[in-house]
Amino acid sequence: MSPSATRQTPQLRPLGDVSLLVEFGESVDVSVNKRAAAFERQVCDAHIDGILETATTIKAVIVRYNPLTLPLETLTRKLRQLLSSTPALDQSDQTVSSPNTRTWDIPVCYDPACAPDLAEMACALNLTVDDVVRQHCATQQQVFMIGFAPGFLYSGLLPENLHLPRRNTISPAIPPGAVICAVGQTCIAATEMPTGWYEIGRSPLRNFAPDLEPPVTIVAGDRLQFSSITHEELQSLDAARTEGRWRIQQVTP
Amino acid sequence: MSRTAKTTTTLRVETTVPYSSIQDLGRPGHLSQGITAGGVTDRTAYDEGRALLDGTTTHTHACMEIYGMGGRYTVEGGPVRACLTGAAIPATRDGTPLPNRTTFTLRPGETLDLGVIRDGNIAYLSVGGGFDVPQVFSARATHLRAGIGGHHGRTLEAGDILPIGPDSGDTIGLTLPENPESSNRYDTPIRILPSTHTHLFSDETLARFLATPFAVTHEMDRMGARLAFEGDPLEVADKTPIISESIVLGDIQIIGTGQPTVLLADRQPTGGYPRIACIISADIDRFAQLPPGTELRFELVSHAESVAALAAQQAWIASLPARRTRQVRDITSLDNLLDTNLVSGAIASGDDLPWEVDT
Repeated sequence: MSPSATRQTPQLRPLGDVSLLVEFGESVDVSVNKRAAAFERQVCDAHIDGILETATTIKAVIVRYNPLTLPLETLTRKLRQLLSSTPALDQSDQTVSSPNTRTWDIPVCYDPACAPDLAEMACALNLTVDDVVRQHCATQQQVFMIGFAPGFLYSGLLPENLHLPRRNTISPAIPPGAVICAVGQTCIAATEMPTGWYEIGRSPLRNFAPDLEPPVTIVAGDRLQFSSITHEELQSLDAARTEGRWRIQQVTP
Repeated sequence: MSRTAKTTTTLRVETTVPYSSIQDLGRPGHLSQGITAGGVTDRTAYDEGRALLDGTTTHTHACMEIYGMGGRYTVEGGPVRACLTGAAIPATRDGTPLPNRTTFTLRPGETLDLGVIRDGNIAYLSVGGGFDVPQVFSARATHLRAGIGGHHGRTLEAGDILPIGPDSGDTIGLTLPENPESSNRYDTPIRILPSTHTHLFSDETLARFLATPFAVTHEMDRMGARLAFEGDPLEVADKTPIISESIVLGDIQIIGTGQPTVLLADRQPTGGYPRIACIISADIDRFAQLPPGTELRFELVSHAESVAALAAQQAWIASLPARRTRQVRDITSLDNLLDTNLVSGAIASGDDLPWEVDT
């Protein structure tokens, strides 16, 4: 990450007339995202009347509000007050979690049956498949946001030598649980969807389960530790999840 | 005079074409889980239905949102009060035409037929008591991307049986005037504000965007509406890939071909295509009802103007219950007598005129 990635002063930008974006930087960066996730918690804890909902994105916090009860000027003033009281984050700290951060153990099956694009990705990176898997599991990843679709998580950043652009082709339908990779990030699909990223594995995680409370377990600001499992283990965990005997677990400290 | 729910009242979908769904005001509060609020595409039309049936816009009864064309419906259990709002939709009850924007009763054994929508895109069938499908995350709205809410999280199909909640109202034969502004809805520009990526477009491109006449296309659903235009693609000045960022209701997204798409109720929460502008909240409903082929222009306004327009729209909606009038009809019609009294339970006699049922 570049030290200049985070803005000294976050930028407040209205999007239309009922949304305000509080932008903490211009790039995909762990410290930018940490500041955003921490700020979203602050905004939620402040319980400001007129705010309808908030969400952390890769580099910002979106605030949806009712401008008829909470004028933009008032909202802006209240958010600036919160920003001025935001505790400073140690920007050099990229790996150590704060005491409240949750870290999830994410089992991933990298078996060719579940990883149609893993060999292509390894080839493009000039690495072996085993190298890609080992490095994908090597460092904890930060959940940047839940976006695009229900429970769909973005995480990063992978080691530099795993960075590569999107593919030139679109896969029309990747299944729930698909682990996809590109631009230094890993996403896990909770629902079937198209993608232009590399499908490199399958997880038993379903980060959108409408029948469970909460329906979405992993949220922005959490951390992920990927671990390689066999195809048999995946099938066993899938069955256990379906029968309600398995849910995603936090890494035990 | 309220009908007690001693038997289950249901509406059966005999036939339907895509793409109807059960909707209410949606479920804000789940954006951080990747779930956009969703809900009715045309909020004003939904509120008109609520005002007509119950004289209030405070409850959150679920209605049926109908795109393009209706179907055939019957009720079982008890009589159902209903009304049609939004785009004009031909309606008959057992073959007899029914006016839009007017409450009517549908009795067991009667058939409601809804035809092809004209002069708009989306019609709303509201029923007294609302469609009583299970609440998912505090709302009944069907969220098609998430596959939740409504009737099994999907659009309606022939054979679906929709439960109807207890009806606390009893007014029928009331009608709502058209919003006076709707007469020139095709000629008034759609007002916009800056959005996420407006600053990434050159001044020249933004000026061209405001000067260009666009055409509404047939490519429209609950997620978005594609626009067509003649001219060079609208492109951002800097081609650096965009980091995926929040999408808001009414965002005008420029896809790879340089064509704009307006993102509507079931939009995705984030996306990586640039958004050149955002339609103001007060103009979303009007935009969503512009039929394919309509020429439209965009007009940039100030934040203050957009909030004033929203306040005016809310004031209009709040005034809807008081704007209801009695439908002028032949009081000697047996059908009208039945219409009133099967629901209210009263017997018409003497001065008890059939239309004197407003609460």
